[in-house]
Amino acid sequence: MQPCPCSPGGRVPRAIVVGSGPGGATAAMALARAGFDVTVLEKGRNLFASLERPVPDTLYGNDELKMRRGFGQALPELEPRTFRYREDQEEPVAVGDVNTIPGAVGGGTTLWDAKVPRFWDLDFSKRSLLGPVEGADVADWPFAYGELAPFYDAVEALVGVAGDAEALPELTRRHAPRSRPFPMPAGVQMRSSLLLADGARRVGLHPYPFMEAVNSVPYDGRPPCIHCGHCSTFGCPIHDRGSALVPLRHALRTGRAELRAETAALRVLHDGRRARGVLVEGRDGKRRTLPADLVVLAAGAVDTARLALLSELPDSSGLLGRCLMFHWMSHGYGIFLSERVHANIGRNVTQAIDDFCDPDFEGARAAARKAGLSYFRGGVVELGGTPQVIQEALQYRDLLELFHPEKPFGVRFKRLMRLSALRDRLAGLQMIAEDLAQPTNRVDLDPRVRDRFGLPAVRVTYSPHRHELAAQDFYLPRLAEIVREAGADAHGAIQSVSTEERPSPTGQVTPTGSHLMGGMRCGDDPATSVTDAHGRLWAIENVGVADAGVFPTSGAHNPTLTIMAVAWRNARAWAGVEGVPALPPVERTDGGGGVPWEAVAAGAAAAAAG
Amino acid sequence: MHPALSRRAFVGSVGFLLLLQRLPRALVEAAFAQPQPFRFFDARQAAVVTEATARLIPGPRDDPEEAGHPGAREAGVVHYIDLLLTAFEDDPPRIYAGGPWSDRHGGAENLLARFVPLAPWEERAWRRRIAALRRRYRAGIAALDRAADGDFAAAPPERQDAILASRRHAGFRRLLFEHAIEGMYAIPEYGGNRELAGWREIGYAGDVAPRGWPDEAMTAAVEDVAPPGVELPFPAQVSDERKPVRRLQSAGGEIADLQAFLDAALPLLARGPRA
Repeated sequence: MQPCPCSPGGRVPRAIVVGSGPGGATAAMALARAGFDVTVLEKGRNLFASLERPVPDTLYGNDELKMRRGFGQALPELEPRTFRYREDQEEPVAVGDVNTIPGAVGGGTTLWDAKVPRFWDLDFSKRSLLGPVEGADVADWPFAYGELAPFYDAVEALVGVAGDAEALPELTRRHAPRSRPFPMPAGVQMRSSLLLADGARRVGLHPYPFMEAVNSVPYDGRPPCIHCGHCSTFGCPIHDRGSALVPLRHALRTGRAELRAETAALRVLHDGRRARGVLVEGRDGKRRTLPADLVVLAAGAVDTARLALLSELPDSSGLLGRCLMFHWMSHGYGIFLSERVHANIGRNVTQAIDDFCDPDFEGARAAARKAGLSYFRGGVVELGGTPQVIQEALQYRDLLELFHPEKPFGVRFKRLMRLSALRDRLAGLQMIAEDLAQPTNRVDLDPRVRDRFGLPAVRVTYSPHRHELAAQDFYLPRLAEIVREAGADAHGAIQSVSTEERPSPTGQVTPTGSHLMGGMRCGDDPATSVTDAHGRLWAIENVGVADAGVFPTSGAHNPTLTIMAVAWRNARAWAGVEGVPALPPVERTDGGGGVPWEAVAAGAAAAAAG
Repeated sequence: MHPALSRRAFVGSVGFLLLLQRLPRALVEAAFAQPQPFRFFDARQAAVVTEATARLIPGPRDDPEEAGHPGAREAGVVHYIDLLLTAFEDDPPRIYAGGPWSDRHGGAENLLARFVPLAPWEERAWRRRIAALRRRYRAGIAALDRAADGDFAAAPPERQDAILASRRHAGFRRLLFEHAIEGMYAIPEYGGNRELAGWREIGYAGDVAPRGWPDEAMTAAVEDVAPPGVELPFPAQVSDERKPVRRLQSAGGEIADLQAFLDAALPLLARGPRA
């Protein structure tokens, strides 16, 4: 075992990892494999059994009502957050669910649809390559794409990614170059995604099969996807979808890691120079101190910054909790009257375009200049999703109040359900747009609202930069155009960026989506970053951050692959391990975990044979 | 079977269509097959909820147009609501059904029928939530009865509709409608969607794990032309500024504007699943 810089006196060093999501689980795996004793704390529940197996027993399933009721998520009345637009606003404009991410073992990856693009070279060297933007804090990461690339390869092999490297557009290959194919071939494509991809091609864009941590073939002891259609916002019933459970399994199998669910970290204990442990509260409501040589914060960007503030961790730059970023999800939809596009069968979406991530997309520079910017970026566009059935029905309930207030129910509702214009005939797309870092966008502690532990709630302060508004104004008509060209009988796209002056028509004031980044920005200079080039707190070397809190920029793609790659890179450095990781052994597929393999195979065969 | 389904022409593979038409007969717990006593509602309250939700989501007994199309009454929505309001009379409480699958699509046993024990903090929150719902139901039912001169359930359907549509009862109607939708389209383990009436009526396969769908089902082009001549609840307004879209001819001869419908739907769609 390597001598650990954190460990005094040569005994086995102890690490406490706060959070069992993709970042925490990956850090736990790297630390346990490097010889640490690791305790992973998870505030939420463990809704799995036998996590040492590739296919743990799971309590998730094809149950929309359970997910609507908040299964595996923090309940907003017990763990509220508050939201305001400006730092000089005394009263919150929203209290309760403010971009809350899943709160259970596995974190956000319990309910994701596992889209795993890489960030681009631009994202890591944003200031150098694209320059500053007035009113924003555009920074370079302390490392470039090339340094992270081997870790991207490693994470792709770890969680299992299906994709088609040959089919990637030139733009994507240029900005996120890869040296090897994906571990699995791309999965079967959804009809709704292919229709929108055709539309995109007709307007000169470059759709490709989106890379997904979803098995297209048996991989790592897990079965291929069964296309059950309960993907994003649902837990995978058979674990064909990769997740934080994979690195967690590798951590647990070292015999040096333990998982403590329903155990909340309340405070990191430290003397201003060194952390010595974590104060926790368990399921029994008792508080105790767990000693540690290394404390890893991986609770998700918002809760990590909150824990740092609750712990009064030293802040070298004044940026702790600041430069919080979200992705803006701009939505477009089309209704198809001549066919059922059945986007409820599949993996939520299976095609994407990267064209709008390019600051030099045709017309983008000119539109940026008009808005007083030298550039802007939209983001990756996911092609093909639709709501679930209860959600659809509730939309008709609300629409009937608009159209038929004299009787907003009855036969009209039933006809709408049978026609299914807003589900079975609907194909949606969403752009996941870059959000620039601004110091005024931040996490701090709410002065009044408290959570179920009696601690101050998170207060999120956020207003979009004109970059986000200009990019959305430019790309919305282009999103609508894709849907129109796909042959939809009605099409449209809708503003999601919400400001005080221009509230979103959705009525939602908080930022869209659950991609939370920043607040613990990493960098090369303690005056301009909270954590160092390996995500360690500048003033306290034995506190590291292993979630997207360290991101200096938000990128224009789904962040989870990058979270895991960066966590792996950094955790190895904390443990004093050099070089690129050897891959953990990939499991042979043997049907462990109680999946009724015969039934799955027989059912699919019978269905195919008619 | 919904008429649009029978019109389906299937391009690519016939397997998908056959699978849909062969939705398994309900495998609902035996208890549900018997007339079931109510746990929260008294007989009179149950009658009000039964009749009110049948106005919101009508079935064959409630509207001649719905012949062959089960509604809230047939799906047992009132029992879904009664079980929700008494969730803590069972142990574990009937809040979160189990996982990962039922026995409807290839599973050997129905694992959704075993409810998940709650964490202590979840129990605290859900006890409060359900206490608040109980208060709203008591008050809402009483208000419907008052508006119908003492007996909502016995009022003529037109009167019931007028009461439910009135602004005065909008809050309770929205709650009832939400719960009627859940009782209609959620998995049947929560006590509604009896004999899968809600899913069957719209051609929705439901919880298809662990069998899932064959590859062909994902890629298939399923032609199903929305039937003309059916009156659709779209507004009649037509804007010349919009890109031309195909319009549906309604029974009354009006032009129904699908685009206006989608425009109105966009904010709801974009708000996402936890709206």
